[in-house]
Amino acid sequence: MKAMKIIIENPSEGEEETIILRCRQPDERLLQFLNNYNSEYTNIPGYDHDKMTMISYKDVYYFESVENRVYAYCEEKVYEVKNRLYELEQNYQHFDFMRCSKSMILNIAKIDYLAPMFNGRLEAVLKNNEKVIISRQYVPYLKANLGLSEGGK
Amino acid sequence: MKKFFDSFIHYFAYITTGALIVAAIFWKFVQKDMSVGILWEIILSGVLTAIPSALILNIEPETKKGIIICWVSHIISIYSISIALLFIFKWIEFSVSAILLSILAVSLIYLFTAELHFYSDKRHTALLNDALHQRYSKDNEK
Repeated sequence: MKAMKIIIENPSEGEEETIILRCRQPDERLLQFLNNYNSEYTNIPGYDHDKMTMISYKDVYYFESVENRVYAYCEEKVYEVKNRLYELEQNYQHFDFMRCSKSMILNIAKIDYLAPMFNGRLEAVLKNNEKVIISRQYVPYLKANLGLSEGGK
Repeated sequence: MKKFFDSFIHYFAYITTGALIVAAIFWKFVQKDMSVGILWEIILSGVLTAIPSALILNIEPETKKGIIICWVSHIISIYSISIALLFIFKWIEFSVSAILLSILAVSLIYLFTAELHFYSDKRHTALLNDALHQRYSKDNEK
């Protein structure tokens, strides 16, 4: 498929922000991305005991499944979310989230730097100084996500 | 199965290269009358040590304890196989100094292989860090 030209224009003062897609046959991936962009998934209901808070996906560092419960880890706070891990993976794969182990989905945008570990694994040091392990099985997905190889999703 | 075979080839290449380097040093400075048959023995030892490496190092334990158990069992299996082969192939005679020398030789091969892996991982990680910083540098500037 031929690469599409991307033009970003600044709207004039007072004009509404709009995405205009000018193409003959819209690519399915592009439509999916745009649907997700405008979708309900940008905010996730998170539970802190009995209190419910809407968390922006941008604030989530990673999702982790612990004993059949799924938690969203933000900079300092941790919220329980009612979705299953695979649902979160599907919903947020276009938002820089990727599976990094069987029980974790990581927000790549929150990685400060990566460090090698023995046995092909990577240690991701996050922007809040927390450290998480990227399993060897998922390293090719990270590479693909960062445009370094053809494998992965 | 494919994953195991890929890992096997990978470890076989690394271990055999390490064993050849150690054998060349040994040949040069210690024992100068080694036969060509030693090359086949090195290849066989490469195969026999690559099998447990591909099996054990492909397990990805989630806990720290699991990681330690994996590494300890890998080290024990590699040392046991290597030292047994050293006696079977009659590369060394049964004595304390010979056992110590063989442990040193196996350690050199182990360190060589581990260092090669670590160097390669470090290089890949540097590329990933560059890509990561390029993609998110705009976010950091905000």
